[in-house]
Amino acid sequence: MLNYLKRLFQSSSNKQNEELNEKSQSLIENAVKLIVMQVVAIPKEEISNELNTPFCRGYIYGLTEQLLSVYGINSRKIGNEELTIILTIFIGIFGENEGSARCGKASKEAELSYYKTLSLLEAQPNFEVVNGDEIEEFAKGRILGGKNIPNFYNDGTTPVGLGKYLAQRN
Amino acid sequence: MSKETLLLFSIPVYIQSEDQSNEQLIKKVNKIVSNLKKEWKNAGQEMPPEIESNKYQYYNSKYYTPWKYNKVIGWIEILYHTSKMLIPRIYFDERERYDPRSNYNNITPIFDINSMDFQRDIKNKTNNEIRSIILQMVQDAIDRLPRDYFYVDTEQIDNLLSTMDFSSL
Repeated sequence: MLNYLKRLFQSSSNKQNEELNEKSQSLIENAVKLIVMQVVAIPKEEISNELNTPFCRGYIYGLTEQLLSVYGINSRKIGNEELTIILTIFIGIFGENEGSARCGKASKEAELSYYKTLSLLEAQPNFEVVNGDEIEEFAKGRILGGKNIPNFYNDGTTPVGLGKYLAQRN
Repeated sequence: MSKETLLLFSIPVYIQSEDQSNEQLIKKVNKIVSNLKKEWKNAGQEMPPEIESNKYQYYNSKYYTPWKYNKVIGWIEILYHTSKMLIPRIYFDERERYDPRSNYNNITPIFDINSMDFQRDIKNKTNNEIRSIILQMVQDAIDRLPRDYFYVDTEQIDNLLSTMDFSSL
């Protein structure tokens, strides 16, 4: 699947798309590096289980969102292209089998989290929060992931939010 | 316009770039959310993290409009004179607020063909030379715009010029 996604990025031929593809690939590589370096202390076979929490999914999601903005790919919304980038990053971290499932779960959590925001800000009556705590954890991770990136690009502070969270949990 | 002059380009001047518009929106959103945080704090509670994490998505859907940056407030024109001269001209709306329903006639020129300083000779020049002359003329015109944040898409002009053959002029 990873190869398929790579081909998808490489398929278009015009100059603007080529630039966008280069940006996307650089973004994906950097995001995977920034996350993997924080879990380097965990044995490879345990990474998948250790990162299977809403907070970690939120962290990866938030970090990618912020990187999309830094790379100027899109700062306004998450569309199909942005979702493909997020999916590729999840696959890069969790492997081809689990990556897509985790990404699907993260997208669902992002969607539920948005609905919860709507219910909080606009008091929408027919909204029920499923697993409210998980969504809150996801949101916390997403905020932290987003905050780590500007520090990294402004003063070179290495993102450690995920590593700290995992260390505290264990 | 006399018969001796030919309008080559009309380049729109936008009120601001998309990036500037997004930056403004982000500032606005951050202000709203920090006020919300204070309200929650005053009520003795912590603001739910969902609001913070979805703030841009939520307020984008509420406040975003392409009109904020896609608003044309003037034009830079490049004219060709039969004496092998290129002549720039800026039309600009002098009013503070630009009315989208107003037509081209309501826009007044800042400088026009009478100002000799801005004219450029293209006699015996190659395509590449003419291209860089036009780009320089556009850049000069941009430098003379009344506000720094007004935006002209120079990349688009560059792409357009690279496809044109001026030898037939």
